[in-house]
Amino acid sequence: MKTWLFNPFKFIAGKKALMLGIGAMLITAIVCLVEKMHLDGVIDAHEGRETASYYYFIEPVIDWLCLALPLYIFGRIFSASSIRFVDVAGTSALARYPMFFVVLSGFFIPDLPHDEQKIISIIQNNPQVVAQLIVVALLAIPFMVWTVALMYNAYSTSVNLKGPKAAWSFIASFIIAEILSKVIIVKMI
Amino acid sequence: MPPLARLEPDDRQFIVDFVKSSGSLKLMAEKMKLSYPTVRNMLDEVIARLNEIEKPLKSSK
Repeated sequence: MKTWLFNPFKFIAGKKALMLGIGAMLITAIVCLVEKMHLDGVIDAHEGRETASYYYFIEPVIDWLCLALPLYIFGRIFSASSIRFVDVAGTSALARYPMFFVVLSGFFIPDLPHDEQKIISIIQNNPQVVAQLIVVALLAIPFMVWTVALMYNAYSTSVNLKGPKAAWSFIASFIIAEILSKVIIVKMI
Repeated sequence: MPPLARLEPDDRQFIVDFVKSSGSLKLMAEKMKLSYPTVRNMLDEVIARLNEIEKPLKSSK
């Protein structure tokens, strides 16, 4: 059970993981569209920005590829194994499926105006709103941690790296992916 | 003792299965109900252990 939750890549990789991952991304993007939530970063989820519908479908693809590419490059540099891009891409796509639950938790976010001053005023005068926001954050954080754990295990399995080398190259890939995805998404708007 | 014989029984069985699968990791993965990279990683570990066994043999020659 634990393996299926945190390292399903022991059993699923390659094209199968890729298809399942893309399917999960598509379902998550539909929920994002309904909820008007943007996945504007590797594990980011933000509400409030109004854009065309196709943005909700492009953003998760950008997030996924921005991580898969550096992971593959680092894998090629550090791993002695003969690694396949389809495994890195497939497992890192499937690793994103808990983001569906992060997006779902967004349904509990109270309706807030776009104006920062108004938001501050509402928060100052309504402790109930603050409590609601804290509950949403507490709901979403474990799913984000789960996503990162899956991403790491996806990388470790698909490129056959363990220990400090795997950890440091994953952290470096993650930082690169976060910056790259933010830049691309901001430029796209 | 030859290096293959000095491997653990599980590793020897893995090599037997690998040969029987005509050296196809894809086929091995299907048979073992594991993913391709998992089986490839297992093979790499067996290779690493074989190299470790061979190291003192090579240096003594």
